[in-house]
Amino acid sequence: MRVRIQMEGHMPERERTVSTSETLAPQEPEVAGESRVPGMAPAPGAGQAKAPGGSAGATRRGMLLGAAGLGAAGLAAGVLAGAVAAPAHAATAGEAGPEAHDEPLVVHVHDARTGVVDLYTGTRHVRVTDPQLAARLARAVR
Amino acid sequence: MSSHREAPGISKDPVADSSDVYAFVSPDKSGTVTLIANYVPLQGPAGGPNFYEFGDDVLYEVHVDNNHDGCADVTYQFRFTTTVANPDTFLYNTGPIQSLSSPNWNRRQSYSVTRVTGRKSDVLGHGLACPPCNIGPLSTPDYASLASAANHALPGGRTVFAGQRAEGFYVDLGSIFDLGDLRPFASAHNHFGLAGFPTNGPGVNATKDLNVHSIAIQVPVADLTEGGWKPGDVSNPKASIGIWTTASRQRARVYDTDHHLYVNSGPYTQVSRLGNPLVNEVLIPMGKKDFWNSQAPAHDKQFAAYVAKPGLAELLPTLYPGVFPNLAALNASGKARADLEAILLTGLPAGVVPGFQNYTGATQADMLRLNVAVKPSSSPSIYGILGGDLAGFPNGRRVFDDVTAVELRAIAGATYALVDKTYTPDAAASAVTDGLTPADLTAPYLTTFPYLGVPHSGYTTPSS
Repeated sequence: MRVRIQMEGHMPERERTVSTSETLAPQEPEVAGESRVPGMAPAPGAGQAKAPGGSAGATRRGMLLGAAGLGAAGLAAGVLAGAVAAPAHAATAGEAGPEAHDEPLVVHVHDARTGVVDLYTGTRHVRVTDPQLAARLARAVR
Repeated sequence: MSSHREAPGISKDPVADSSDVYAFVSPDKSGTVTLIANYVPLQGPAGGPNFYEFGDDVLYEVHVDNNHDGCADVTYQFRFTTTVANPDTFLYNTGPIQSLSSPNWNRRQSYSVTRVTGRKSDVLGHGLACPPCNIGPLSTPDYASLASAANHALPGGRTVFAGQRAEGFYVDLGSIFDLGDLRPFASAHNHFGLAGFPTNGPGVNATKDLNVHSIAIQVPVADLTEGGWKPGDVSNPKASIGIWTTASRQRARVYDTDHHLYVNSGPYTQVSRLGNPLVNEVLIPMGKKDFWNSQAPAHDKQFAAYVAKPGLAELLPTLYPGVFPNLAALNASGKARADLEAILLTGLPAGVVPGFQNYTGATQADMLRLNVAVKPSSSPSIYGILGGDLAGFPNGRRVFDDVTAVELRAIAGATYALVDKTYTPDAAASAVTDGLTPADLTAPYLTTFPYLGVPHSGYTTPSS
């Protein structure tokens, strides 16, 4: 399955032109991750700061972690439509893969028809376009 | 009010609601500028047992644009942390709080200050103590001294304070939002044909006896200016900077029923901002106020029409028949209010007011503009530049400036002659006021940092 994902970090969305928009296989090898240290983040007023080069810090690893976390935690919690929390501690070892992280992950199905799903974890936002995933989430709450 | 509960969305989120911004050359410490951003408005002092505090889940920022593009070049970020020593008592304090380290103080806040310039992020301080709220003479004896201990020195000659203060903004909200029935001019109001209204009277200060939470930072001027420019010629473009504050929340919030707390995730997104007083409150229409709060000043061209043709200017001649004939004619002409555009969106260019400018370029952006080269006045006027005092609003804003009167007068046409010498303001334009002055406050301003007064005590001040 191939998913289209977009990612943004603590830079405010309006300023943070989502420059990372590509089609990836979730299991594709990844490169170095990004570090986000709350309190040290660039001005989120982010919105107000001069855009320091788009989505600096948005790495492929970060995106893959987000996508992997979504599949596990989002489905494990059986959530859909609207903002839904899927605390990492709720997922079992079997449900969460080795890439699972221990921060809460919130899944918001932005548009079930087109498969646009927003993921929020830490200070990151990852947008995934995956109609199959959105459909599975929809089925989970029926 | 200046920006208290000014938009439908933020009115339901007080800890993120910016209410006032002040920026001025410090009158008692040359070479420094004081920036103050107020949040958590309209606090009844007796608001126990859960007294007011900043939001741990809110990112508070004060921004400075020093190269005139409406974007932040310097940002000070403030993040708060609340700690509870004993969760098994209902008490905020279990005895008198006589120092910031008092073991009697059960629920306290500390914070960090980070200075951001471009990609560079420097933590200036962390674990900085806020003072407690002013509870009363038994719980917080000698409150003024207690709060003074919360003035923290930071590296680079900076000083910071974050905590409760007396509301310093005075305004007759009751009359202004009762269809503009300004008490000093009540007899001239049309009252929509209804009878039985009182005649002229003094204003009533709606914020009297209320508190607010202030973030105040005093920094060397060079901390704010482009390239560390030090004050010199007033006409130098580098002397003019723009200031505003924002509050941001993470985008996703879910109530965790296992732990009975909110879980926040995602990037911070702006939910409140404030530069010039009263802009979002009075000029921006209801349907766009929350959107305005989410936007950056650099994008304010989209709101410029509401400044160029303010609805309040249209209302005044109707509400006060025969009082504003020249304003009515100006409205009818369809001309844009270039005076308001300059004051609120670009700053005043050189040549408009002799010996002064706070122009920040053609980018239309709602920022409080301060010319840091203008020295503090030895005999300040609460009417600022309109009162002949170049060190006051709209050149920055001091805690005592009567921004309500200044903006009412400007909207009424008092400043239009600055851009059109053929225009004669109505006589009432330079007299309109809600009838208040700093004398209507019950807690005096301080003459030193953080300048806003000692907050009202819960014991001695009735809840509002």
